[in-house]
Amino acid sequence: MMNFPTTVPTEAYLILSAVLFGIGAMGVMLRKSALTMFMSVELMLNAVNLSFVAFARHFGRLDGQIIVFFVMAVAAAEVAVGLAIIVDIFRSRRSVDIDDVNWLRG
Amino acid sequence: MLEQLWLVPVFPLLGAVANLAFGRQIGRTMVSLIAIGSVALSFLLGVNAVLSFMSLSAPHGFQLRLFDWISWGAGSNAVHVADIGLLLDPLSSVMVLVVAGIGLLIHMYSVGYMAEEPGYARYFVYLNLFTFSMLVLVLANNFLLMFVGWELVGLCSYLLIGFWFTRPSAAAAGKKAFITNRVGDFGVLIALFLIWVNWGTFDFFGGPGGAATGVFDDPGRVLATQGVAFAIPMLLILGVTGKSAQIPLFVWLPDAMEGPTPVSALIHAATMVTGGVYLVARAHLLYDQSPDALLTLATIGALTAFVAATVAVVQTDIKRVLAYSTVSQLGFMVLALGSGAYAAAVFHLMTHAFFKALMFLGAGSVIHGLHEQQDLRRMGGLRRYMPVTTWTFVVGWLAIIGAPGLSGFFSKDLILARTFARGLIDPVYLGLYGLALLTVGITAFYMSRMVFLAFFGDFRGGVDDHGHAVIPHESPVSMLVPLVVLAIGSVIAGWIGVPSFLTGGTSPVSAIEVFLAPAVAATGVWEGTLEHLTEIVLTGMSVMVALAGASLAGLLYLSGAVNPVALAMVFSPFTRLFEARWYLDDFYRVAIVSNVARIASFLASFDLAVIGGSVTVVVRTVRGAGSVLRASQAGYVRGYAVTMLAGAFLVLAASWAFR
Amino acid sequence: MDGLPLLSIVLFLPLAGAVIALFVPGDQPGKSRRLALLVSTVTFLVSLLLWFGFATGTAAFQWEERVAWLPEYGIGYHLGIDGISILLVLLTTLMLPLVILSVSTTITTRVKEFSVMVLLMETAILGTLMSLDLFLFYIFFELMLVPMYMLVGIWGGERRLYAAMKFFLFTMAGGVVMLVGIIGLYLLKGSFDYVEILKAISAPGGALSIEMQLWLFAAFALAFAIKVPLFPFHAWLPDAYAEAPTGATVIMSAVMVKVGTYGFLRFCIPLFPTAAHDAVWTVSILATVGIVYGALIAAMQRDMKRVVAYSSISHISFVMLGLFAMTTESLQGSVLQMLNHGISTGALFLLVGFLHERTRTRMISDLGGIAKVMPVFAGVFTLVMFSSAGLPFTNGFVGEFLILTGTFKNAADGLQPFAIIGASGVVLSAVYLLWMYQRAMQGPVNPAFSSPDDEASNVAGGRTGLVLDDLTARELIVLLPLTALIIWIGVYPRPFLDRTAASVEAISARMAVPQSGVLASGTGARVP
Repeated sequence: MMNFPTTVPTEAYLILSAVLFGIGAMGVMLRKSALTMFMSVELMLNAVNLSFVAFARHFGRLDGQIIVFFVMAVAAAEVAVGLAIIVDIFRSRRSVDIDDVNWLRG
Repeated sequence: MLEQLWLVPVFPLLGAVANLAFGRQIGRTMVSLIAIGSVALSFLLGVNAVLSFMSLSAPHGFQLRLFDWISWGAGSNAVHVADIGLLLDPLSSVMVLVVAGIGLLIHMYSVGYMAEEPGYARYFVYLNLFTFSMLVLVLANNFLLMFVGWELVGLCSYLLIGFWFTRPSAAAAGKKAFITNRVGDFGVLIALFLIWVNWGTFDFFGGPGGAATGVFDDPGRVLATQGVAFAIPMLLILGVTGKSAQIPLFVWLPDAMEGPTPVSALIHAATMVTGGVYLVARAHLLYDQSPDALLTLATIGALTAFVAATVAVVQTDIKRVLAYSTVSQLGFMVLALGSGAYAAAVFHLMTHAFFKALMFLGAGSVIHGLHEQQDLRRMGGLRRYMPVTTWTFVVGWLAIIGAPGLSGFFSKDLILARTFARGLIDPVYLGLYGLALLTVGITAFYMSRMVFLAFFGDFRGGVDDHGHAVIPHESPVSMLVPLVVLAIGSVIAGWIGVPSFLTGGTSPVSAIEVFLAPAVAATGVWEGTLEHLTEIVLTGMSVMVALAGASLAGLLYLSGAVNPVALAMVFSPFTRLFEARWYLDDFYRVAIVSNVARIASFLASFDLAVIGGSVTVVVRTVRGAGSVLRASQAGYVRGYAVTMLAGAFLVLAASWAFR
Repeated sequence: MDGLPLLSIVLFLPLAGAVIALFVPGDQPGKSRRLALLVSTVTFLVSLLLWFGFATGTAAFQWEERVAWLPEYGIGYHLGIDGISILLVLLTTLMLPLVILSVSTTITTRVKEFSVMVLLMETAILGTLMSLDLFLFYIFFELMLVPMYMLVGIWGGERRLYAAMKFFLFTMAGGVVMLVGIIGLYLLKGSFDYVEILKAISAPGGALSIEMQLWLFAAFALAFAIKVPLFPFHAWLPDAYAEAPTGATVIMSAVMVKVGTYGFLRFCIPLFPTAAHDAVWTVSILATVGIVYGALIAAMQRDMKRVVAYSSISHISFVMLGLFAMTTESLQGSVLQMLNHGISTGALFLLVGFLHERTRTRMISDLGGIAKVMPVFAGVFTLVMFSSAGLPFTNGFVGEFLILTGTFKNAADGLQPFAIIGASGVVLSAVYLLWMYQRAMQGPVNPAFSSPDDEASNVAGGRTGLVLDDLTARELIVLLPLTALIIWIGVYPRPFLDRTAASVEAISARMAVPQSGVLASGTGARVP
């Protein structure tokens, strides 16, 4: 019988969280499609959520879990607004290539 | 009837308001009826009030307090800066009769003179408003209300000079008059500040309902500070030089002839311009305390009389001759004031109002009859065409040059005698007397010149500027009646001031002086009287000088014995000086107006460049800093993301390094 | 007084009107205009109750309302008026309906938004005048900026955005500095409540140190000096006045800038008496310079609106001179002159606006002979012009005379020279006004204009160019209250002076206490 640890150590969650965050960050920086960037941002947010929950379990407190609810709520709102903007940009530009969208250049 | 005194100024105001509101609807007859009726009522009430007052024995005159004006608070906290109230005393009695009386005649005259004018109602609104303002000026019971009248007559003068405002010269003249007067008013304003600070009231006299102690109840209060005792009269003199057209501010009056001729007669000869004389007479208790101020006043008066007379000699416009003559005669009045002979000044004010109004209206009649011709060189021989105008005008002429028996003779001689008497105390006045005597001669000369050129000889204006034949015609009756009335006044008005060496009375002073004494008798400055013999000699001298002047004019312009042009050539440096009006206008234009304009335009560009510019500098700095930083804002979302990530790493690294 | 919260009603009626106006469809300009007119008129009528119910003879605040708002920070909803604010409150409620009525032919685009902004402006101005809580005051003070920025920026002339931005930045800069001052005061005295602070300052030993006073005074004074504007903080004014639409110019010049002078009198002088006393000479010099400077520059302007704009700098400087002379006469004059300035300058801007609407130019050189073509207009113009020039029996004389006399009376601070120089401003105002009148209204009629009374155009010498109608009934209704007030205040100013007297005397008595270093504790200082 292999001896599985009965509990997953906190480090594992943090490493997974860091990896997910890194993938998300790379996605935001490297992809040109607004939609993909959006998904990457979601990935980053969830990575952070994961570490919040991990810490919450580690310290046996509820604060982190509560924060996660806030983050999820804000993320949902953000998705709604963000997607609406992207759809609008697509309508006017026939493209969601983020490099075309630089109207706010200083 | 004295309680109804307030109606005296109010009637003309009501007339003005009525014509302002309805003047354009009710037709000319109604307009004239309202305008004349209101002044007539005012005059009748004024006469009545004066008669009631004379039967009263009131030391400071009769005060009627009407209502609170600039005041606040109640009980012990109440502050009364100034209230509306009237004062009737011998001085204001004379003024009310002159203003309402002459005003009434000129209203009547105007009906004929202005008959063809489109702005008929507007004219009478202004004229009524003027009568109201002038009555406020002379009836006010405190300095501030008097200043109200003082300023309002200036307003009316502005409006009436600029009556034909589409003429640029009329518009400019009105503005010049108002602004020049404002310069004088500046002095009055400062004097008012001093009065308020020193007395805490503007009331002339204390009394029930007003201040306990008026300014004139305690004029010596300022003597503690000699500077103030001198400053108040001097500052008022600035106002006098503006309103009464004295050196250095007389330049506006000749230009004021742009207004309709009846206006020139009423405002710029008979009434408004005497406001300054009235002011000094009213405030004489303050002048009595400052011999220096009196001497200044006398010098200004004598110089103005002389300078204006010399300028009148070379004028060719009939109204301008009269304008400079007015300035000159006002100089005589101011000289009298400066000699402490306030009653003499008021007396001359009254007689002058008659004969100068007469001559202005006569000139208006001439201008009317010649289709707006004002040039003396285009007149001549008018006595054949306009007999009434001519002979009334001759009466005015005789009055002003001091023909014995006429009004000007008595008043002018009184001034000369009083100046001379003052000279016995202070020799400077003897010099001023000499100058005044010389001016009497010049006056006789230029007045005779005008009369001879206009009414005698042959008619020289057969064709007007447009080539139409001109046939002079006599004016309508409505214009002639006032002329006759004024002519009678010019003869008899002086009879209330016949000197005692002629009447043989016991009093050393004449009737008018006795009447005015409670209001204007000088205190402490002039005590002595002249011997009868001296007075007779003085009178004889002035008559001789006047005769000489008139005879010279006769030689030049009547008999033609001497060619005036040749004579003018001989004295060309002088005539040039006179024609340039002693360069006073030019001086103002070069030294003051252009410099103020230069400063103002400098400030305008300063405001744009420096005040506005400093703002621009701030804006530019901010914008410059922004343009450096804007490069970092490329607008690429991924660029921002990279920057954020790099920043996050930087923070992490820093917190690790400095842990 | 009685049970109704009268001040709150007056204050929030326009705001309520603005909210309702938001729901009027944008394609019905007439409806929103009528709504705004109705609301502002009702506000005026209600505010008349304040005028008639006002108790003279007391310096106490009247119709006071106090509700805790953020009590832990000492912030409250605290309203009240006294003799210093009553005239300005009435002026505001009077001018706003007149402005709305006057612009019905000139503001034709985005009428709904205009109505909303104007009503919002009314609430903001009234709020600054009624607030007795510094926090509340600051909110209203800054709230004034928003609608005014919009009014200038949307409906203004060619350079409207530039002018609006300049106006906004200037006033904002001052306002922020004042906020620092307000917070500083809170930290020192633990309250934002004006009455509480005043009580704390007047209590024995409660006076602020002189350094503190000077800093706080400077912070408040900067905001108000820009608003007034006191020379040399006036750079925003000529552009803002000239570029704004007539209605906004009238609101700004007649009402809004009074918040600056009011602020000096309400806050700077009573809260920091020692510092204010130290500033007497500085302010007097700036005010006197402003009087002469504004007048001289006004004479040089080619645009009628700019003439009036610079003249308004000159005239408002009189108010500042009187405020800092601090005698009863000068303060009475200043408080009255705030009202007068609103009436006369407001009327002048209205008249220039009416003329511009007809001639489509404001350049003096393009006019000429207007008095011949529009006689009624010229008559009203003359009256207003002379009121502005301080002719007796008009409002301007009473105010300016009291200011100058009061200033002259303050020999203790050596202010006589300022009164004398200030009096020369009376001469100069006649110069630039009459010169403008001469060139624009008198002289030969410019052939570009003609009167409807002229013969038809096919007759020689008949109608040419623009036909200028004289004032319409609507315009006369707008001008009538103003001209009536000009004469009323000139001939019988007593009702006005009576209402202001007690509050003014309280301040002058307060300031008459010898100021040496720190305010002598309590002696003779009357707390309003």
